[in-house]
Amino acid sequence: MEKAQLLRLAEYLWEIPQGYRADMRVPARIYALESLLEPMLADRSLEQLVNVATLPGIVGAAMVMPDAHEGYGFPIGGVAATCYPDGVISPGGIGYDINCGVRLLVSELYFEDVQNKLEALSKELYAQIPSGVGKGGAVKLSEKGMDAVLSQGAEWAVRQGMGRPEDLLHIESHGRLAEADPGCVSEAAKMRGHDQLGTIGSGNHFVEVDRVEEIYHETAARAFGIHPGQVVVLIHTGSRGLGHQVATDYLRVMVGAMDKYGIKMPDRELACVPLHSPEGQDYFKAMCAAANFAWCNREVITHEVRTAWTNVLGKKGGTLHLLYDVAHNIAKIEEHKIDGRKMKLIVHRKGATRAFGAGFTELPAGLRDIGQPVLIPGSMGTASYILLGTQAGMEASFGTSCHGAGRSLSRRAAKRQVNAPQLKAELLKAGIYVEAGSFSGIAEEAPIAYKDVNLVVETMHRAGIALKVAKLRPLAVIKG
Amino acid sequence: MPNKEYKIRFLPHTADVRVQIEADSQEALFRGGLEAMNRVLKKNGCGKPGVLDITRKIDIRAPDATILLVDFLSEILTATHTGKALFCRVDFFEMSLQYLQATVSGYTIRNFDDDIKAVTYHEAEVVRNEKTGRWSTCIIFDI
Repeated sequence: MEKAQLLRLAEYLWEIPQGYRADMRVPARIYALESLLEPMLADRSLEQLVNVATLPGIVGAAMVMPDAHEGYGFPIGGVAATCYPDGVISPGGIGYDINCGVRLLVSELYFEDVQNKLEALSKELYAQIPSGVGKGGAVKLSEKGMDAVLSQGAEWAVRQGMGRPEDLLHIESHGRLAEADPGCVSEAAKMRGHDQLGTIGSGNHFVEVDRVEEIYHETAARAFGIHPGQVVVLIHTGSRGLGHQVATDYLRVMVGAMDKYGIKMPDRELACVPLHSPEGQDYFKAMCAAANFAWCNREVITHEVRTAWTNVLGKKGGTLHLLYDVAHNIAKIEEHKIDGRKMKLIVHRKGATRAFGAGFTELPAGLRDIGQPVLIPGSMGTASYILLGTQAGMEASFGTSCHGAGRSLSRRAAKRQVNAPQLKAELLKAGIYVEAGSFSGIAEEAPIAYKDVNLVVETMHRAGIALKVAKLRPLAVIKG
Repeated sequence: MPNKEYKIRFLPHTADVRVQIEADSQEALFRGGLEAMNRVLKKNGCGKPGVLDITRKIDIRAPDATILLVDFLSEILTATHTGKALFCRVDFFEMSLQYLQATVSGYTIRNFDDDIKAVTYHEAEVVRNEKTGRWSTCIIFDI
């Protein structure tokens, strides 16, 4: 696709008109400052976005956020909403890592308080939190225990003494989707997940200790309990093998079922069925169960982080409070305005974050009048951000923001270009401790493999979709 | 080690692994797909494998050869993760464009190099070149 084929609607917004391809049902929109658009034109992100615009029942526009890059089926950073309940649900619009997401823990300490204990803290976090490919954790779920996790989500961890009751109010959907049905999750998926609670896995998943470097929005920062110099902890992981298997199982079902509903898609990875169909209902219930597993996973990891924190810092370490937990690979039933009319929609977010504005009743009392915290992790050597969801975002993007910096370099290319031991030493020199299972894992996630997170976040800020609240700098990174 | 039956090429992809496989036959194409997947999971894991004492029967029906291949690899990937095993050998008993019956054999493994979340249908298209008789497809592994 050529840039000349796009309409520029604003400095941060581009449109591929519906007439670009005959099978498009809506236009496609790209949120990106001009320099971020170039890499999207270079890979297959925008062709994939055009394919998304053909989904039966899609409304408004198919969208990508500024951190978008090519994926399979949907581009990563993709957002699409379909009519409820007869529009389609597509596992490809959620991804294999169902409810991959991020949470932020806020400490009562400042950089000066932990400066001399960062090395010990990073080693203790690495010891407490199992990481790496297929690595199991201390929690081994029985059949009954697994079903309870899939039904209860984060609440299960709290009931087991691995979380605080107040945490639940600070999680998207309170850490539990009620539509979950463990009976719709295959035995293979349950087997893959039975020892994976409390583990981060590999790839781009991490636990990171950061310090608050800069505040942009005083009112929101105050409401979030964020202050300059404060130490916080970011956790990024998802539903592990269980979610991967749920997606695999149901893509196979949907590839086989599309004919029955007269649906043809340009890419099998966009296989979809009407939500109200038996296949759609089974997938939705299984996806909700996998999302609950992911929320429970992040809650158990939070318990491990709190344990490591206390082991190293003792009582002076104080409490790690959960600011918020957001999903970025999920489909939710939400109400949004389309052409001025409120409609129930199936909102697919694949590598995109819910970013709801003030007045959203699900938010806890302290946040309801301000808006939802939106957490944007960068790469291990750059910055991460805390943003604020807005009403403008509700109108523009179904209340959706970017989810990270977005890859710009393939993992293989990163491994070829990066000398991992040297990078680790450079990061240490910059005051960032890295604990990782392998040097190749460090190389794949090197800062040069990612887009400029500052520009990505700036796009969202200028679009008014999510406003900058605070910038975070990494101090210690734990990776698989 | 070069294999005359099939050729595997790893191609660029921003976040995942894109592989192009060419082969002399449909069976060889499927073997090539398995080897490509194993190379990502554990480099040289099937170079000098231990005793292949774990076996799984595979029995798949699909609307076409492309879905058959992706579903075949997905089933082995599931067995890989649930059994923490690497399946290096496959014996086909029956194969058509829409059906296959096989046994895969492997060994338990302590750790993998990379996680493969899934074998995707994206860009996969099993094609037989009428002139050369060669089979080919692209496969994208989500990692």
